[in-house]
Amino acid sequence: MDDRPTDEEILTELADALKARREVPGDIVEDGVAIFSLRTLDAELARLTYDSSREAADDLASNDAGLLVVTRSEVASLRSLAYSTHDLGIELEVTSTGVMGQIVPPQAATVTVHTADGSAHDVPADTLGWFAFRPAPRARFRLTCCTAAGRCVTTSWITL
Amino acid sequence: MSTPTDETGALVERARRGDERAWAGLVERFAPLVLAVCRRHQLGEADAKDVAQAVWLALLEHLDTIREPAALPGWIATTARRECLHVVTGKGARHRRELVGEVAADVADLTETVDDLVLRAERHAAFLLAFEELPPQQKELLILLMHDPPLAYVDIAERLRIAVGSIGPTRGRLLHKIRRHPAVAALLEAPRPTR
Repeated sequence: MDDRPTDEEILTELADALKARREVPGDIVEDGVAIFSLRTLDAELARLTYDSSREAADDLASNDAGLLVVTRSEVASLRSLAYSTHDLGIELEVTSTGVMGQIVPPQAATVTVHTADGSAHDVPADTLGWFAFRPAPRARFRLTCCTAAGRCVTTSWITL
Repeated sequence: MSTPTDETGALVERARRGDERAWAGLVERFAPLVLAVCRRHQLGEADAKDVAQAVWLALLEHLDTIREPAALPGWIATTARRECLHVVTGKGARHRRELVGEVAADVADLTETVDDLVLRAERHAAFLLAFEELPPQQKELLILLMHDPPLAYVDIAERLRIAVGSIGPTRGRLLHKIRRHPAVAALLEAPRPTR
């Protein structure tokens, strides 16, 4: 009748549970906690609608003949990303020197570059919605864009 | 909090109202599950971090629409799995032909094992809940008792400055406490999964 686990089994399960928790790399938790500020930011999260690096990978994956081989480094030297909400988009072009961006539809805005360590700096977008900053961040970052009209959107975290 | 599901529900509720510590609690609560799914897909640490970040972002967006906290572990695992497959299949053409076979086999396996991972993570969450409710000295004693390789009672007694003779009885009492915790008791009554 008694199939209750022994003290040994209880201790083993507890040890397994603690081990699984301990093995989580610290930055997985830290990065995850850090994105909560996105919620309190009062900015709408823009969806990634285009990523040239993913596009390239998908193109290659669908090329059954396997004739075209492009290495990752070639793809990564220049990357385009596009984020959008129903009324506002951010297009990014990454070059070896920095990041250039375009707000769509074109309009003046303040773009804030947030890095994963919690720092942030502002970059103005001109009346044509154009902005740039350099160098391209090496660590994970995200952009928040608040237009002159007071509309704010934010991207998810970007790793170049 | 009596069970992991109650705890999850309370954390979701508080995070919705803007409580960052509650959000951190959710991330900590589900990080082992996300990592377990990544491991099942044989992802390296860098890929696992990308997957985890994508899962947290999805969870943040999903926060206001969660109705059933009990379903959240399954949702987290499914989201993580989808992101893992994206990483695995997006690796480029050169390895594609070898990968296709492996990935297909993997996917077949995964429909069963993701459920197993969720069950195991929930068992772990129940044990952790019981463990975290113990006072610090008792947790410390349990940690030493779980040490691998095992420590002699005399060494444990010396480290904690307690009597050797008290360790055995205290161990029994603590494990009884864990066993009786509502979260663990509910698990132990349910049929045990085969490992």
